[in-house]
Amino acid sequence: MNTTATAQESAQAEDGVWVFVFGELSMFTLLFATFLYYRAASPDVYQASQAALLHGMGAFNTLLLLASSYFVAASTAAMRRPDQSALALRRMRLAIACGVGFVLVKTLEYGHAFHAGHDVLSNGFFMFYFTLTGIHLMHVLVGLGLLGLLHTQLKNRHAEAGHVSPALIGFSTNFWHMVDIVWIVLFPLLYLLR
Amino acid sequence: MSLSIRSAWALLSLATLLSWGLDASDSAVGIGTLVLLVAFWKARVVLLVFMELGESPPLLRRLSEAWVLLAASVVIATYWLAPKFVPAHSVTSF
Repeated sequence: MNTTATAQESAQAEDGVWVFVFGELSMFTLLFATFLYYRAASPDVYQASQAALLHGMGAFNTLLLLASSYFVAASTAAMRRPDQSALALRRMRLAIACGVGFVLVKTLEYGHAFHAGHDVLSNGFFMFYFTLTGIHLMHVLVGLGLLGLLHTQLKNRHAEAGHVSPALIGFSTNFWHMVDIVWIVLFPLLYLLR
Repeated sequence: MSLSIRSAWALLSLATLLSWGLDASDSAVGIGTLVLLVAFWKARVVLLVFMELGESPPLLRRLSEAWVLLAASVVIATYWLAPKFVPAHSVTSF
């Protein structure tokens, strides 16, 4: 098998990935609309609860995921050049580090919320906050697992001890960008909307 | 969209900081709508530049543009209309 993941191979391998990606994005869109519907019923409770969140951490996490997505895109571009396998590997490590950073910040944020006496049963806002960010966090963890797998294959290819699966490139990178898109909309919904 | 991935990242990060800055503004549906429009613009940039759908076959590109338009419409319409149709405190358990 050719060890070079060309754009054509990636495109073929991505058949079907888009159905998954747009299906997931549509599911999240419905959840976002549901949140806004319930928010309209108790605007005071939702605004007071929103004020208790650590907005700076939410914004920092958005920047971390954007940086992570950038490094994944930059790594994907380098993967197409056999002479840039070391660069692709380095960028993938940076992408994973930013993703792990997101998980750590989210953990601190959850700790802060629990410490302040908020949990999933506190009120409607916190029910949505913990559920939506929890579902998203699970996607982040799955995405990190996929990127970790891709990193291992990139490492093996760099050591000339294996190849990188075009299907894994297509699925893992687009899954990660999808996770970024979900957070891009979730951040203003939960932290910014008045 | 012919943005390089580095320019896209810089614009996305800048838009994030600007949206966060708007957070301190007075509560207004107009500001909220602007923040949501910026979010969906950011989603479009990720789809077209990071996910390379801007260079994909026309059908896939149109599908991604259509998703952004549909999702933004559903979310913003709910943001606008729910307060008009859902009486405040009508859902007591939430």
